[in-house]
Amino acid sequence: MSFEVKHLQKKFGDKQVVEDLSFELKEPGVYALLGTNGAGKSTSIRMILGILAKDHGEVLLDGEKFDTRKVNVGYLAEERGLYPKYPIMDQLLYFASLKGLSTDVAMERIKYWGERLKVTEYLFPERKKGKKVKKVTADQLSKGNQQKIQLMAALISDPQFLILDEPLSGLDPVNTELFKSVIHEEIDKKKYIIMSSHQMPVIEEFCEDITILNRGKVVVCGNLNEIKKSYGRVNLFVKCDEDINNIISELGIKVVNDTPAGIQLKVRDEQEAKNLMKRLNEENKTIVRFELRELSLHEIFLESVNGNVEDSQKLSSEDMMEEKVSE
Amino acid sequence: MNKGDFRGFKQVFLFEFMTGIKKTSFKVFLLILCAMAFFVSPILILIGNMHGDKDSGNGKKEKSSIESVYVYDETDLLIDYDLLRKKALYKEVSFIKDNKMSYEDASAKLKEDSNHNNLVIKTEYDKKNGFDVTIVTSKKSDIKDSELTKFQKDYSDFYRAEVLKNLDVSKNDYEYLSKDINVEVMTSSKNGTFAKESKGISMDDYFIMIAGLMVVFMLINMSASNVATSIATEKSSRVIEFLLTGTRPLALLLGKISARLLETLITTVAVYSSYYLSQIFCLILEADNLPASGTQGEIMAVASIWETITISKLLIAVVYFLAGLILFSIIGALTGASVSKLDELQDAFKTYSFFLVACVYVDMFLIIMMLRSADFGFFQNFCAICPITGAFITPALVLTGKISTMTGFFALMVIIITVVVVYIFAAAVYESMLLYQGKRLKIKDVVTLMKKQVVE
Repeated sequence: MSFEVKHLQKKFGDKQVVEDLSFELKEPGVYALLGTNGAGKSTSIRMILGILAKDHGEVLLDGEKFDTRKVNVGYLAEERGLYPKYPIMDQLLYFASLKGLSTDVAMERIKYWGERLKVTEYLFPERKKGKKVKKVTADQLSKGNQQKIQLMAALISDPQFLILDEPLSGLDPVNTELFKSVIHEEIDKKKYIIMSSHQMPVIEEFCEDITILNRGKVVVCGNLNEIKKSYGRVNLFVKCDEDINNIISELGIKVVNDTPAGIQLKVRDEQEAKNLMKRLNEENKTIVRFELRELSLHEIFLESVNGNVEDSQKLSSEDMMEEKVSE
Repeated sequence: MNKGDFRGFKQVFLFEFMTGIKKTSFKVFLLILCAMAFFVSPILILIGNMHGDKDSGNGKKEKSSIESVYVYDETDLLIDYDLLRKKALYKEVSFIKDNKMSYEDASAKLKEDSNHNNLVIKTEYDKKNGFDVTIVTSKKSDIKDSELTKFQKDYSDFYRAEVLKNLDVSKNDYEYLSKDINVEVMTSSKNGTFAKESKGISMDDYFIMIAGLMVVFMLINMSASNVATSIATEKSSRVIEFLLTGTRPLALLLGKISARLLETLITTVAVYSSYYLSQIFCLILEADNLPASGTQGEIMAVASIWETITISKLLIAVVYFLAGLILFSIIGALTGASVSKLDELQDAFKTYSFFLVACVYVDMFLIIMMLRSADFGFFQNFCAICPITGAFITPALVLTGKISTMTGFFALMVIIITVVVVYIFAAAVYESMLLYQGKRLKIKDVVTLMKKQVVE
């Protein structure tokens, strides 16, 4: 089965919101759509789902028009939506019925996902002696629990295609882990998943292929490892007990950031890093840390969106310092 | 509509209907309407009874609160007031003819007198105006208005009988003379046929039509508001995006409107059933008094309206009412889709409500004009045929026979075509409006969107 998005375009008035978006999922896995706010991720997802008309382009499944009313699709929208005043159980049964599920099957799945996502007490409130069972409505739930119910709604039909728009935003660490484990389960079930997120570590954890959108334009697209390789290993983190600034300036290496936790350098290639290591050894410096690494997705994202490598790297180095401290 | 759309429509319909009828507001509203329909007539009868509107025919011999009547008869006729006293009601009333005081003094004294329920009656005759009877009472007296009205009528009948007796009219002649003369004006057409010249509607018809107009307005307004609120809630809570992955927008719209239609039908049937039961209850309650009571006269008036109803009229009226409901529900749906937040709905409703109320006012103007004169044929037909005004009044005009079945059928065709056209135009913009998030769309924005989508 192959899923193709070809040359999607959308304009709102004079503003080009999505410009020529194309990607392909040849096999089950997770495809990531990245971009800043207003980059066109949600619009692209809505066009893929067919809930928003495309100005140009097509979405194909095995060469035929992708129709969400014919294919089993689960969708977790960025803007979470539940009827605030209706019982959550009624809502889930309604959403399941819209996907063609019988009440019995829907109830079975609600039970399963209720236990899996730890919301059973809200779905099946206990009957208190002599009192009528009061159904729990959406507005009685916390934001995190509402998000769980929405994830249940997306998964209740056991969809072949899953579209998750910012699935982990606003969740606490415990629930983030819970959601991640559910997404891993779905990946293991060989599902086709399209995910958008601002959280780069999440994307790196789940996705092999990505598209970065900036103001509607595709700025980076392809396999994540290959993209990283194409940028090369140019980030060098060095920490010595002695002052090494004179050696760095002698070799003409660019300093990106200098903090007590270490110096972040930008080398032209791996040979330049080797030269620095050689000089440090010759000078008998005590090397505490010497790490040469490729750009993180976060850096690639910032560079492709801002076009400013130094800024992106600087931010990245701060992250690295934080990581170091936490270690 | 393919299989998937039909499933979507069915599920939306079931969900909307079930959640709609489970709402406390719906239950309370239905209960209030049914209670009103059931209890209004019996309460009116009870009030009527309390005011002594009935005095005969029920076997009860009530006593008039009038104590004495001072009679000043300036005609030359011999009037035997004892005959009036033969009526049980006036059995204990004294008719004093040889009062020593002048009429003016007696009237003046009566105005100051608060201790007795007395009346002063002066009867005059002149060739030009006929008999003039003046009845004077004290403001402080306990005689009720309804009792005075009854006395006025009884005295008038009694006096007429006495006048005829003075003229030596035999009993047979009297019966002959006392019959009403009904005059009917007919208008002839070019082909030689005669048609009854229509008169203005009666007061009973007027009240029934106004009440009908209000009920239809309430049902249409309630249905359209519910559709608008439901759509605005889905947009505001962003449920709409999830729904649209499995359902087409128009199936969603149809499901909502159908659910509201069924709710309204249930309400209407429940209210009319309550009213029908109430009428049976009233008939049982006051079976013996029907001809006497004014309140029951109203019941008869309502019943007389039903006499003009035929199956075809009923069918046209029901279908027309449903078409009107659909028309305004589509407009309500667009109103709901024009906002992104539930808070903005009230603002959006201002224009919608103004439009709705303006249509109802036009209809109300027609009913008021119909009360005064029947010479509003063109305006009446316009209101009936124009779908936005007809939605509220045409069913009543058809049922009461104020417009012909043919005109009703023509009006029905017009509203059905209008509903289809409005649906097509609404369909063009509804999808875009549903997903639109931002400032409230105003009428001109919707029209621009409509032009763009329809033309393109």
